[in-house]
Amino acid sequence: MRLSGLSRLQKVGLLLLLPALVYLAFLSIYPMVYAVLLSGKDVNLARPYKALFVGLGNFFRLFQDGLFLKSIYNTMRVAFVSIVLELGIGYVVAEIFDKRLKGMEILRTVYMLPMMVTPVVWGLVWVYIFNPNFGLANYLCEWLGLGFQPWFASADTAIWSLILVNVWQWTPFTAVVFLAGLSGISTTLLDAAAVDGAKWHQIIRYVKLPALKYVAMVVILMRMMDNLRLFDLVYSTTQGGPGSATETMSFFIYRHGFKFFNVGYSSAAAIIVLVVITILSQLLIRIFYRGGEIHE
Amino acid sequence: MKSTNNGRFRKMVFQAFIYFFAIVFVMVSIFPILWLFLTSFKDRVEIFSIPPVWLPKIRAENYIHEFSGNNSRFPFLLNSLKVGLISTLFTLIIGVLAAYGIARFPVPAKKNIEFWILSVRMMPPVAVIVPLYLIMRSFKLLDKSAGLIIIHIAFNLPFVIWILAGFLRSIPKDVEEAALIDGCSWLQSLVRISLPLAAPGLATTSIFSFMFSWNELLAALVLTGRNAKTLPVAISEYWSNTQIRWEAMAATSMVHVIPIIIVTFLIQRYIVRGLTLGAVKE
Repeated sequence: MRLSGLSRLQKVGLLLLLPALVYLAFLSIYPMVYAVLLSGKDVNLARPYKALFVGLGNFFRLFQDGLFLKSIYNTMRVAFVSIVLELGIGYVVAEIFDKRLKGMEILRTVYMLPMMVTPVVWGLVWVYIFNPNFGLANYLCEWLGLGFQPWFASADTAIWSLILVNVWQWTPFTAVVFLAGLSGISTTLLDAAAVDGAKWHQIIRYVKLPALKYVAMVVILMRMMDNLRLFDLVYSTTQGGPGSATETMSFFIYRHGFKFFNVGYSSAAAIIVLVVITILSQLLIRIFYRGGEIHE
Repeated sequence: MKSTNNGRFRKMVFQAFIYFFAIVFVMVSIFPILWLFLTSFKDRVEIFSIPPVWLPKIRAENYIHEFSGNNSRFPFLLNSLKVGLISTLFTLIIGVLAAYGIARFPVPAKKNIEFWILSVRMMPPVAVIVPLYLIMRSFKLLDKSAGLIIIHIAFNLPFVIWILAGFLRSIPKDVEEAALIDGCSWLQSLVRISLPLAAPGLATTSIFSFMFSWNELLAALVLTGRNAKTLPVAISEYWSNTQIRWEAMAATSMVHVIPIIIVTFLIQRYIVRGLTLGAVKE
């Protein structure tokens, strides 16, 4: 691309973009390349001797590391179960808030609050509510006759508690996006279906759900990427425990990087997450463009 | 006559039904917030009491204890404000220029550039946090607000460019073209015509940018220490394997949450658009 071949307007446009592009390149491409280089080395910040080049050695080690495999399994489990629940409950909530009744807008905004606040706060609040001995949850469980629940304290229930908090925080997101999708369906279409004698479940099946396909894809991909980098919630609730019951990929990377200072090994795991998220994000961006919402 | 009465009755039942479920869902959503609020007034005895104390006496002890004296969290609140405001300011300056370039100029390879900016937004921070730590260490920027500000600008810039470009595109071109014909330079037309017209978009975008920074944990946790620690990091420090000071955690968390509640009501119309990067509009 020769600069002299550009028109004056093209040059001004490039000039306007230049600071942003330089800044982003320095803080995204450079660290990514740095991470790739680190992933090929056995380097520990806590040890004085020099880094050893191990090529793909860190990756081979990772795929034999039970804890890493467990972290992939846990991440997938949390992501899959959370997204299914968020989609299902989110759709029901969207249908309810879609009814244009007095006060609905205020209720809807209040309903959105959990997703606006950092997960650190919610993690700690739920740890308090889920405290096996004096927490509110067990008090209610006893009262309802459900008996004692260990919640975060036991390896069997910790991951389900984590999913519960995750779903609690992010269902509002799914719901409001579905709501936006529902309000985009033309009323003439809905009226026409009603005049033709369609039952409510037929309207959902043949009119609403097909119209929500685009927003549903956006939600699924965004939530998938969020779950792959799920860190704050794990950090403030279980820190991967008990044992390795709630170890997730992001927490594994953090622990190896900043607790054990194994930055080479940690970077290799980070590269794997990066590759998966990059594939997902390319998919998402393609859907954005095909949805035609961005490029008029 | 009877049938219309019947119809009205059915409509009322249906509405009551909708309200009931709407309120149930809202209660589930905000109950933890209310519980946090109530917990922030409790004393040690009330924290551990069974059955739980539902309505403690309103008192400021926990807030005063956490935000004054030697172990005050106040400096961390200031750090959070500082990082949020300064990073938002710089993100906006760089972002407005870039968004204007995308929205109004025939930039070569525009689609590829937009595509790339969007991919940067989706890059997981955890994947680059180790290199970022090492880079900041070599620049002697660890445990300094400046270091965190630099990172937060990078996290928020793609979002700001993307959303602002959307707002700028929605302003009719002819207003600006008229200004250009009248002899304004592109910079004058940006500052005098486009930005004032895009003011709601600009306000929304800055609030989002501030909020992302206010809520950010991972980078702040890794890059800051005793001096430049932000409020989310200070809150995460209440976590412990053995004994958590719940009433203190609640008070500090409330201070963090209240601004967000206010902000949510301010930008409610744009939340969906912001969180889906403009892909879904209300």
